[in-house]
Amino acid sequence: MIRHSYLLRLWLAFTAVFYVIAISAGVLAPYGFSEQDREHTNCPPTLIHFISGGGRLTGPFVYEQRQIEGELERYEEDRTRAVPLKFFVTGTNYKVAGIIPANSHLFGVAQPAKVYIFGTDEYGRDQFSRFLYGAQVSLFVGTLAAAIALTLGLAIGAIAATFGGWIDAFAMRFTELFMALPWLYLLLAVRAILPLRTAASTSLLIIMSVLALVGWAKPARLFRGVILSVQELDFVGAASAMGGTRWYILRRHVLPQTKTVFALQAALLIPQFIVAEVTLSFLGLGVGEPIPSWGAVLAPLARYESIGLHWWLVLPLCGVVPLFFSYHELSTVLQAENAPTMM
Amino acid sequence: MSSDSALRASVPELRVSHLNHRYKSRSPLDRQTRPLALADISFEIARGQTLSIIGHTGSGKSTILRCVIGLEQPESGEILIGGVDSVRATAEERRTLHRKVQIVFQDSVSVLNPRLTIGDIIVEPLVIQRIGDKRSRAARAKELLDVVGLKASMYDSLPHELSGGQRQRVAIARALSSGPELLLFDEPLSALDVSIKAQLSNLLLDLQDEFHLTYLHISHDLFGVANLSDDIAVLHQGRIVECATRTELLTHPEHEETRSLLAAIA
Amino acid sequence: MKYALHRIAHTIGLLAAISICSFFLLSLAPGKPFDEMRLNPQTSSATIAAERARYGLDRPIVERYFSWAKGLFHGDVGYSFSYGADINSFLWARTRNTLLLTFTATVLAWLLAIPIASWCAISKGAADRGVGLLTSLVVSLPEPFLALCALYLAVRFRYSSIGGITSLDFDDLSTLAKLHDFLRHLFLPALILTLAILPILIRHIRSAVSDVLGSPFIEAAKLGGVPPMRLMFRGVLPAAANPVFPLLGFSIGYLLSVSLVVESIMQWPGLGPLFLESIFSRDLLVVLDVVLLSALFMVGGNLIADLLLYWNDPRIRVRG
Repeated sequence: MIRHSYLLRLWLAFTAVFYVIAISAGVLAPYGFSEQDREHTNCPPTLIHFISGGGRLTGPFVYEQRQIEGELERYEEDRTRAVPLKFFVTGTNYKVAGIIPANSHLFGVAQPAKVYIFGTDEYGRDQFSRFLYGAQVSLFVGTLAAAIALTLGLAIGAIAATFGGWIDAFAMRFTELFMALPWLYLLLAVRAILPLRTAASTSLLIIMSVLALVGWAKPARLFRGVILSVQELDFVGAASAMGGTRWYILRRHVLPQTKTVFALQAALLIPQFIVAEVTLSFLGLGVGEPIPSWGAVLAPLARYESIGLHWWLVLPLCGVVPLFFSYHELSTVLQAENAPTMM
Repeated sequence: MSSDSALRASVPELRVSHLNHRYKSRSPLDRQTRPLALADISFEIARGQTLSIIGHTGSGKSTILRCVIGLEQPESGEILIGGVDSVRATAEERRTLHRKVQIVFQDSVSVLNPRLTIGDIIVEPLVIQRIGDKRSRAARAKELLDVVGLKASMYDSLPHELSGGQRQRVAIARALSSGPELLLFDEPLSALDVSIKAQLSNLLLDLQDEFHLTYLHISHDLFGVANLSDDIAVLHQGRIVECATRTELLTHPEHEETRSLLAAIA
Repeated sequence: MKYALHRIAHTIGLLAAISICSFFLLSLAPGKPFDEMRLNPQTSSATIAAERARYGLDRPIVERYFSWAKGLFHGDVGYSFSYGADINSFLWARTRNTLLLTFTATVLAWLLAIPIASWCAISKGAADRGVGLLTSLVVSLPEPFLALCALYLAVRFRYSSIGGITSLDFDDLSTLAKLHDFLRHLFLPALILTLAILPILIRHIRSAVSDVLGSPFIEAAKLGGVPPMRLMFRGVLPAAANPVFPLLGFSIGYLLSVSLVVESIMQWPGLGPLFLESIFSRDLLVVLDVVLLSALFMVGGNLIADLLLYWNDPRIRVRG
């Protein structure tokens, strides 16, 4: 039991780190997400050196990357000048939480050198910055949509289970409709009903709605089942015998019993919703330009021939995979906690 | 039947007349062919008396309790509690009835909400009935703990920390919190050890004297409730086949079913 | 038998309901097929009206639904505006390709998962934990990116048949060579799909087998001296099959979703890329047909899984 709660806190903390990083995208990213650098399109990652030309250990520095004369998109380091990596520099403007303007960044280099940790894409946009800003979008949209879907599912499942009769039957048939299609086909079909080319902020809202609309069905069925079995428990019957109304029993006795299931479902569903958002954006049906999402950042990889040429486009995956792994471990821990109370 | 005629003259605390009920079935189509759970049940309990209904599992005992407490609506019949018909009661009357009638279930792991403290559990009827405020309820809970023979310190304990016997005491305390007049018992002692059984039986008798309570027991264990009961009724396949005072039933059982129940423990 | 009929009737009803909902919802979608035309100021509104009338777009919606549904029964699934041809002409080839891919992956995945999972459940040691860790890692990799990793490796190691379903010189090859070429192209997408679903299968099968291994009747049989192989096939696996049948239904739906992305990335000419194209070009009849097809496979797959479950263990009373 001690080990269990330690693991739980470990993975919760680890997952939280990603959210913190996403929120701090403005500070952590050296560049804006739509800044285009036409002189450095498809530029490989900037190497950070610690050993100076004389062979001594120094603070981190970079060399400016210049296009090789006559060769398009081939770069070499200009070793004549070491540009030090500075911390807490001023750079492009951004807004904290979209409101407070700021321009202090964690690290950066003096112009005209650039520090592209993940390289750039075909428009010369810093992949690392886009990765961080993309995290904001993907995590925010995915988590919020999952929260809405879960809450909706709990509410509908609770109503169906408590009132029974034709309300229950109707709700169940309705959810079956949603579960009759493979999730991605369903998602895309619903997406297809809505306008494709809209303003960026509208598309955010659209994606979130689509995800929530499609995703509430399975949790609803699940919560309904859980609540039905909780209602069989003796103390619920006792409360009813004492004159408790259905709402009272739901509030006081039934819903608290669903807490562990809810937590587990959250840990399982949030990553699924994030993947859904990323997939949508990857396919071009997600959040529109210029707002980056992880899907948009990874979209160039769809032309897989480019992987051989521009291998660094894969790097954002290094940030994406640990998040899902973390959620997966979290759900494993929560599943163990659920098991003894499973009926 | 040889109940005291003087007792019969006063308004009985509980009077059940011609109760009929069928088991629920899955399909609404075979409503008429559903088996009868209860057929023409009638009995009376005077104030301060105890009636035990004995029967094998499946004889319909629990259904009677569920009808009296209002968890089920009988198909036909009358249930008069203190003169008030509980089947056709108004909302106002029903509220009063909930206060007057409480039930103690058989001890099982889930009869007390595992997430609530003992204190919360005991005052729940008061919360539902909206009686008193937080402080007066807390005081009442501690008072009741004392009445059922538990330490006041258990107020903050959780159900899993208590033994079976202690949990049943908590259930009894809960049932007493709203100041009821009629208590229903669903096999309250079956799951307990013999020695605990005896302790709790005595507790129930003391409580009955102290608060002038009326008891309705159901059980399959004749021996367990024998010394608690004034009258005993035998239920067989949904019908009362015999009803007599305790002494009469034990010494001169008439019906075959009664005899078989007696033989089971003899 | 009654159960089977009941389930089949239920399935048909479900598909009908889906067809109705999809039809009405998709007809609400913005971007009618002739909007592009309308943007061109030289096209008169009369022409557009005539075009719409020609395709019957001006009739009331209920009428359109029934005429489309009727057409379905005659094998006429409509006309595609972006392809300028009957949908029939390309839909079935695409369906066949997707089914081939998904079916191959399903078979491969199950063939691999059962032995691996059983072995894990039996051995329970470091190997078991290793496989567990590996599956956790693979599960964490969202499917599209699994595809991309595999592709990267393929490109790196110069695997020749990446993308599409046939090589450029397909028609010149002999029949055997054609088959070989096809299989080479099938290999990578099928592998990716198999890898995508393998961890989930292994995990569930392993726990099912593990549960059965601990049960009394297996213990008794072991003590009774039943040889392990026989015990495995006659005793453990059939008993473990129960919780595993629904997994079959689930795997079909899951693979269909994954295949959409994989087909798009690897240019496998299946329903996935068709679906995406038709969404972008607002060719909504195609969208509708693909939606229905995917529902058919999903619901049909689940039906088969349910029937198999019932056949395996008639004690199962599934609550409606």
